[in-house]
Amino acid sequence: MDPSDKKKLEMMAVSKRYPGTLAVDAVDFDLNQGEVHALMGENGAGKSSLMKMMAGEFDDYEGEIHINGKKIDLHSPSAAKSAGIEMIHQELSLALPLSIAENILAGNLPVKGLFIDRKKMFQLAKENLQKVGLDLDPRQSIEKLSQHEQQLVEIAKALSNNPSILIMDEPTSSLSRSEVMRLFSLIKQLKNDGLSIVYISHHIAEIFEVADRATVMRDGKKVDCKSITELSPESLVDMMVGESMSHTKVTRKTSPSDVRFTFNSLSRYGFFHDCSFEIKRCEILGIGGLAGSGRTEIARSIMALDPLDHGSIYKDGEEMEFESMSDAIANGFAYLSEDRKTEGLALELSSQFNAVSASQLQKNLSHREKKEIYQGLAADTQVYPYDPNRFIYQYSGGNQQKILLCKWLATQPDLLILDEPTRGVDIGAKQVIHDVIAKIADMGKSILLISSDLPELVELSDRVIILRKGKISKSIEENFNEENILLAANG
Amino acid sequence: MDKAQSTTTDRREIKTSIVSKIMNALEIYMGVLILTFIGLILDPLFLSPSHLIEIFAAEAQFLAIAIAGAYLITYGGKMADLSIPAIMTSAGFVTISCLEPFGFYPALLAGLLSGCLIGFINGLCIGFLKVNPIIWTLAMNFIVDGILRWFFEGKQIYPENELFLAINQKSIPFYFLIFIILFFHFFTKSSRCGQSVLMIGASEKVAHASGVKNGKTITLMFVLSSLCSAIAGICYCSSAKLATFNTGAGYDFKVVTAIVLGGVSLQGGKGYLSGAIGGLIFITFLETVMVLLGIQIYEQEIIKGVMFIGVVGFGVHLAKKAGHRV
Repeated sequence: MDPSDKKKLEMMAVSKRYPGTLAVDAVDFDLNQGEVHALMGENGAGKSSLMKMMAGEFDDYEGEIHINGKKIDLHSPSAAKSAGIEMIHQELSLALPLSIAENILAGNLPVKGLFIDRKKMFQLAKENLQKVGLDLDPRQSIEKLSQHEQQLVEIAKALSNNPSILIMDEPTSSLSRSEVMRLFSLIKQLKNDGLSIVYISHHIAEIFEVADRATVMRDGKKVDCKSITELSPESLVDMMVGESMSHTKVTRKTSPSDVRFTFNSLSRYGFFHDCSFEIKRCEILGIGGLAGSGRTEIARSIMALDPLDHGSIYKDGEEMEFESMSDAIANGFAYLSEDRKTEGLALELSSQFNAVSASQLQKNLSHREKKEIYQGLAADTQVYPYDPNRFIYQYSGGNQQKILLCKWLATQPDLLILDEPTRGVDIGAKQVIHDVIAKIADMGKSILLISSDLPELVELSDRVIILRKGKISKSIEENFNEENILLAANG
Repeated sequence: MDKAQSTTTDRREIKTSIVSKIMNALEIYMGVLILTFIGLILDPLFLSPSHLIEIFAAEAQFLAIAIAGAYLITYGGKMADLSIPAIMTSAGFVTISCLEPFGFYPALLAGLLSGCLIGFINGLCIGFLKVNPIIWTLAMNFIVDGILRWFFEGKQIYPENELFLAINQKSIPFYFLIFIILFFHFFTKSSRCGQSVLMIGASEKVAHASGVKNGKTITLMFVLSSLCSAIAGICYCSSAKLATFNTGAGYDFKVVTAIVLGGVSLQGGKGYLSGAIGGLIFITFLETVMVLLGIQIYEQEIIKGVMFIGVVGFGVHLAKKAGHRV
């Protein structure tokens, strides 16, 4: 075998099963010495599960993993670390009040007898910082660093263990363009030093700048693995989205009529800028865009959960100003949070309590009214099992999501903002939720749908606007499909 | 796995035996029953009205009033109000010192207001500034105690007002207690505000994202709770016929013990006032039984402390086993 083309890592027909879904389905993946291998795919394609498998987070995967030609079991993060695999998560995992040195060397601080050898610690940290081109005092605390510097410290931390494989998950999501360029030159340098890098990103343009090869996944399966020179952005998008694009639109009885809600140049500095759009009666307006493009932030500012620095909101021609979320709800606005478990539902309380929790704050409801409201909504959304006293944590994810939908339907909103309404639910529940959303729109309500699930966005929306870096980059009135949404989101 | 099946059927059935159902329904009252049996064996007159009045007429009713308020704090997820002793002392001192110059009713009002003021400050800092409730109320307890000692020059004061001394003689604390229990029962179970308290107790984030005004609700919680403590303090001073700096001493721990024994989760969002009152009856019976068994007072304190730790530890263990957040 040619040594320059040595396989550093080989995964053979690996699978990972979650209850109800096969997240990774017999995927082959390999990584050469000194290459950057991009892993691409839409949300839910199985990228992160594959990555986690590499980082040793599952002890129940199927298939074989070979490193340097030898079979190895990656059943724990420490097994992966000792096999030379380091992962840099999208969310930085630094302890803010501690010094740079302590963060970099966390877990293997040099000791002299019983005590930490501080001199050696700072010296080692300094060496690791130099690897990523940072000239900082390792005594400094992490808090004082910029986002970009923190990212580099995170890389230095991974490099301090002398890995041979580095997994990077969306490393550029919080960086500016010039910082991205500096990161890329660092990646090239690491690559030339012989490090193998798995690079995960939604940004298609980046892949062409940094990667040598790209593997595309869809629905848990590997679609293809190609050298970057054989690919173009369009062919990559085609592979991610798939050929069979015959999504049937949900059946709708009505079509959008008069404008009910107008949003004028909404801005929250640092998050989104000058976003204007309107929503008609009976309309489902989809908002597409990558994670971090400001979609969720707009919704939260409309509901007064976060501040709105500038802009105005009109409902039926009347200007609205909300002091609190409670005001927004009272005026017929509702927001279904993307974060079901920490913001959506109180897991320790009953299903009925949760379902009426938002509406009972708006008007006094008797016990019987509460019961009737939940009974009706649970029947519409097919919550199973229907048991008003059952606790939320005893329900499956799909049923929890249905109850969360009930909670906001119970407030009888005129504008329902749905943020990832089917995240992490099974196919059956997803279908039911889609049907309910279409039905509500038919009843004359307006819906703002935020979703990373492109087929869902295409299937449900009457119109789509696409956000990129906090600005509306494109509005597609008709003939939108997964390809043009994905391309517009990438700019 | 059968996908079509899994979408409509949630197989995670909840298995509960009849015994555990009965245990769950009775909760702490099960323990009260057991203690009653032991008490009856040791003393056949354990349940006689005169004996019961003897047990409860003293401290227990003041404790119960304070518990009703403190229950709200624990239920709302803010663990415990450790400034209860200071609120009781302050209400007692302010009321008695105002009796002479202003008369009975204005003095009563001033006493209650002084208690509410402490609760209001607690509520603002914990609700809006999100200070740790245990640390804050503990510090507040010391500060208020210090201010009172400084202002009254460390002297205890005596009431000389017929109406004030009559509070305790006419069993007014007992009627207060019934009223407060009923009020809090309906407040937590049926009012909008009470439901907000429950939601904050279960999860502040969910409450906030459902339109609850967390800061205001938490402030109200502390004001209502301190009002109860203030009433308890005034009643206590009326029965003791003086105000001392020890007025509420030990009430903080006794109150939390009763609440936790009664099955109210220290994490918030779970439990009933009836349980907390049951916890108090349990402790009171336990004390009586321990006296009947000839256990000395200091040993009693040790037993109560160990029991408290046991209940909290056992509760955490049960919660983990059932897959709850802890």
